Amino acid sequence: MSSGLSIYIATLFVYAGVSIIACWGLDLQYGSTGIPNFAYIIFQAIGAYVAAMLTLGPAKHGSVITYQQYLFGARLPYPLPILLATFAGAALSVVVGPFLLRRLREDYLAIAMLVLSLIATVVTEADVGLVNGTTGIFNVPEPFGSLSPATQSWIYVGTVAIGVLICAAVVRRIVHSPLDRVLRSVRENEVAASSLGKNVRGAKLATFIAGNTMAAFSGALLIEFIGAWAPSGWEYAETFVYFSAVIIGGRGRRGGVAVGAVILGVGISEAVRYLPTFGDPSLVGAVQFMFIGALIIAFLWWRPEGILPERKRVFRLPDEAPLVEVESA
Amino acid sequence: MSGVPTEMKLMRSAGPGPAASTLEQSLLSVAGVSRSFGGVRAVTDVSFAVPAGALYGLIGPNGAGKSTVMNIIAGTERTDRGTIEFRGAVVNRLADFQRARRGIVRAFQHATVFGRMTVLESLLVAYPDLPGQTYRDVFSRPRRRWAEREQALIERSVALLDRFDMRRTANEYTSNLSGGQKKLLELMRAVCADPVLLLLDEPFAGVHVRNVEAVCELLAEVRDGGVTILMTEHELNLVERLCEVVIVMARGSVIYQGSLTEGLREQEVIEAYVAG
Repeated sequence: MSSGLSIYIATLFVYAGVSIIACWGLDLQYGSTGIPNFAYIIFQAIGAYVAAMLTLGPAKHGSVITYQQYLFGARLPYPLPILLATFAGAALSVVVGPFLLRRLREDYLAIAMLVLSLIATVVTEADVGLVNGTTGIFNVPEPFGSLSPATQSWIYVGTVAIGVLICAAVVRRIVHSPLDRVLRSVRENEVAASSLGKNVRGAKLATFIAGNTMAAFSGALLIEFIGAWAPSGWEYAETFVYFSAVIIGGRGRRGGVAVGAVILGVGISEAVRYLPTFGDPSLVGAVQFMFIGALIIAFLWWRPEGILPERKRVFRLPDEAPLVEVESA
Repeated sequence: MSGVPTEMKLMRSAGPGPAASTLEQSLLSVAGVSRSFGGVRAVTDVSFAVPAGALYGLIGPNGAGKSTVMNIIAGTERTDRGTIEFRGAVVNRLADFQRARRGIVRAFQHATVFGRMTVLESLLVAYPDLPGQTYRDVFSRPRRRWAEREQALIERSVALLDRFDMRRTANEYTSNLSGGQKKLLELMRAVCADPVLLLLDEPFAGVHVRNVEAVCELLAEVRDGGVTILMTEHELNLVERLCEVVIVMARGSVIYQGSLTEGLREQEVIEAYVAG
């Protein structure tokens, strides 16, 4: 196998892993709890930007990055930038969550989230001193720079795989706990959940933070690999790609969401590359979104539960002992 | 009791009902409560008290304001004026979930179920003392802490389902239940939530006739277990059978409090039911 092909395959694995982590975070919010977080992509962006700034070093003193502007910077050893960037995503959620989740009905909440996403993009593009405007941050050094490109890539695949396993363990812990029922009761009927003493706003805020932390983690993992991040890569439309992955894969079903994440996050974007060239080159991007749009309409029409529907939690009843939760019916 | 207005103390109390005599031990005290929606006054200066361990009926014709009063007590509606005291503390400023945690649990007039959750899950989610219901719990306690408790609660829930011959629906999605079954599930869910005061808004509406007796038995049992119940109901024969005292509302106000038998002789009550 040529080095180029090896790097390409490793890159697909990294994209798939990052996409799976991001989609699991969104599924926790939207699939389990019913939070329509249309601002999800900005939390991934926060993770990416913070990780970049903590890897590149101070903007004014670096020899390579003097032509880039950003708020602060530090040169921290790997994987500290990823960890701190993940924390930054959680911190931002703690700040904005209480305002966004305050007494807004689902449809209005979705609009508020979308507006937040648009504001974040516009501000980032307009204020060049923040994170280098529309150009974005680039030349972020790879964590294993002393190795050959192919070896670097495959070691990074291993890093992402560890990240996926950690997130899978966290999600599994939640799904197999009474908390999962509380979150789904909030999703199904907030008034009824509240009447049973469930702190609906608290549960939504905690899930908002948990999901966005995973988004920031995925963003940090991605920029440490691709080395660049600009507003054009995290416009509001990217959030819809993740939503599509959750809906198509199977809202509330982690395995299904992972399948959706791979199909939408990697499969379609790579497939359109092999389309024969026609018209303007920018049409390729448009075709990708047209295809995703058509796919989501088709699924909502013919299979709204997704490729793998949400698992029904079936219990053995007392005279059918032992009393344990069993797998899907 | 400081929160009980003079009008309430002077209210007619026909028969030996505990309302007037036990005001001092009231579990719930509704005092001077009013609520308007736009220009419509749904509830006007409503006052009554419910003593601990009683089963009271809140009755009246359609549009009398019963459900609004229930909503106000449960905290899903705010008051324009007046106070709600529960166990001696004013709870006006508490959110509905905070009131539920203090023991004010309700079942709605129109059954509210968690459609994509099974019947058993809907009951399990109601138990307040099950560990593992918060993020902190999930990541700070070992799984066995809630797994063992959950098993006991499954047994308790299935026993409850057996009372209404609903065991076979335990693993069904609640969206697949009939209207009456949803109503029963909501009642069972409220009972599982460990209530001190149970607010039931027309608990018999839509319930199959063969289950009416089972509901009556459950309510009596719950009451005998020390839970106070305030229920609205249109079936007066059931109210007479279950409720020691009825509070009659008409046009947003309380017009009578006492035994149903005596109340039905009162001209104002008769007119309210006939005239609406």
